[in-house]
Amino acid sequence: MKKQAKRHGQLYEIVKRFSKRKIAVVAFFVLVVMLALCLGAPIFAPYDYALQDPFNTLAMPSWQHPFGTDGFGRDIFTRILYGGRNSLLISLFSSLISVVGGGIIGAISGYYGGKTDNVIMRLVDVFMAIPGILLCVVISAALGTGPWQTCAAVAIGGIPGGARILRAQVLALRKQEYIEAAGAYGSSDMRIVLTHVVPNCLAPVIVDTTLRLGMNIMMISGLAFIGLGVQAPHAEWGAMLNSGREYIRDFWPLITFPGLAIVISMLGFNLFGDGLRDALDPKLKT
Amino acid sequence: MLKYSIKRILLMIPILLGVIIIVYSISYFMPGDPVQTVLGATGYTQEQYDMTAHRLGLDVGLPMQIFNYLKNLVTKGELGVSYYTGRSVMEEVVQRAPISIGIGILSSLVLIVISVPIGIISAVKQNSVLDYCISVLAIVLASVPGFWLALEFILLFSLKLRWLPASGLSTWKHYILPVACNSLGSIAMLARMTRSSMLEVIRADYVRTAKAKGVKYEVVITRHALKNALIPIITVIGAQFSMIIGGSVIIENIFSIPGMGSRLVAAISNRDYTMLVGITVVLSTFTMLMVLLTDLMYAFVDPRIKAEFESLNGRRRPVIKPPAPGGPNVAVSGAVTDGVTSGHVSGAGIGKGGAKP
Repeated sequence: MKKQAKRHGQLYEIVKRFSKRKIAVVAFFVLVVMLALCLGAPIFAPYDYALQDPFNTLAMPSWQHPFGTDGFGRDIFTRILYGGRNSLLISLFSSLISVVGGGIIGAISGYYGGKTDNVIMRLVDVFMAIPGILLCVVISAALGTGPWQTCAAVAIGGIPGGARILRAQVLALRKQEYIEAAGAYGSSDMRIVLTHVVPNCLAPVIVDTTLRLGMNIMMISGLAFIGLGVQAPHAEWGAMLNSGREYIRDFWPLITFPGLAIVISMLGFNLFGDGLRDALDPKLKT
Repeated sequence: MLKYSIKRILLMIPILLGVIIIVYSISYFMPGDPVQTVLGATGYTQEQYDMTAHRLGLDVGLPMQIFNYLKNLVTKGELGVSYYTGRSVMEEVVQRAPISIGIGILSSLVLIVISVPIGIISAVKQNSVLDYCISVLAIVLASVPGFWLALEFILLFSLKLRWLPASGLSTWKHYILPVACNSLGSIAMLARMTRSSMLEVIRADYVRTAKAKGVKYEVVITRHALKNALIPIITVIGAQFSMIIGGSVIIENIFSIPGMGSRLVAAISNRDYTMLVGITVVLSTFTMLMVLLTDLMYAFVDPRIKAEFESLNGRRRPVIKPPAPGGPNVAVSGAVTDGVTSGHVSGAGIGKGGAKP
């Protein structure tokens, strides 16, 4: 019971610290609204995302179509909601895979050190030598187009970064007395890592995940923008921007609104991540 | 210092090797048959198919293909032949690389010239309206993808205002939009980093001492504070450079710049995998060189790091020296594993060896 009360106290402290950062709180609520709208797209969207209206193509924003219609007469607002569902879900899954997968690799590398560490880190170095977007483009080209493939490409591309972060954390913790004590009274490596090491390096990992969510949204839409990633008839923000390039001369809504959606969600995650960093660990600096 | 630089360049080789192996392996699993890309979908005999596969070196397993690729690269300086155009990949890359790399370097220079002063001003005038505006702008800009910025810039500056051209690369005006789109996001990041790094040193005792001595404020900021704040700034510049090079793949595509990035995207849709591998390897190599350059800059900025490099070289020197005749071999083998004791032990060994005759 006592332990639980203490946990509650810590969470309370974190929430209190977080709520002091007004911008981060606003970002959090914007994100919540956006997530709700996008995940609930079938409920909130006024039209079907694939419904074409050949008599009403490239319509300017109006009461019927708040953001206008695209080249096939599909409602842009509806497609942004559905596109957001794709972008946000893919970003969420790929970030989690990167963080967990990279985290496991990083923890092994940092905890065991020596040869294991050397081999893993050299491999990570190789992956990190390829510029991030380029790596995603290459993997995505191999896996083909589609939401799952994009998710895998972005996730794999993010694993080396995730590994580095956790490794650095584990290295810093490894020499702490309580880790040595745990080893001395006979805990297995697995147990030490899972119950002592990992919980103590969660704060930077959580912050990294949040910032990664924003970053991945850009990656995903970037991939779709150059014709990899999620493709028609599925809606995706980057793919919508790409289709808007065709009409850039006389129809601005198709390249403006999906882009704004990307910016707002990225801004949301970045600000939320910043606020979270301050709330989780006041010692960490921006 | 020179020794360290050479060592670092040599250390790049295994990483580069790894990059080639990984990128080539990924391309091996890409959809589509390269032989069909060359021959066309139909209208060839099995014999023709086999011959083409042999000519392209695709009739052997993946490890052998990678080996041949590396052999070609080392002995002939070739990156294979494009499946799509039939031209040498190296030839095309050499032709396009200066454009991409030029824009990359130009973007980085713009990045440094703009964001470091902004960051300094922001830090010096902490909590002023200006600082606040810069901080907000930095966060917003960091959340704007370059490719969307590119579209909006084309819409505004090329189509509405007709100030700047939207595609091609013939005059200096053509460079403005791509460079701006490449660097704006990074400017935000670097300005933020400069600000926080400066804030950390600006209250340091030595800065106060310098001020108390009566050194001009500008000199205190540039000589005393900035120099000590440079290390994290340089680190971010290296990271941002990698971002710029990666982002240029998409940006070049939008502005129809005949660089490596636009060719890469075309190569994917043409299933021109040798080109894809070649360009990825060249871009990665270049990025690695730039990161190396930033690493070496540390030594110029911080004498402590330089001293560390030099002492490192000095300490390892006995390891490289061959053992003197008659000197105990044990000492040398021990020296390889442990840097600190190596100087002692093998030095003593050499001393003994030298004393014997």
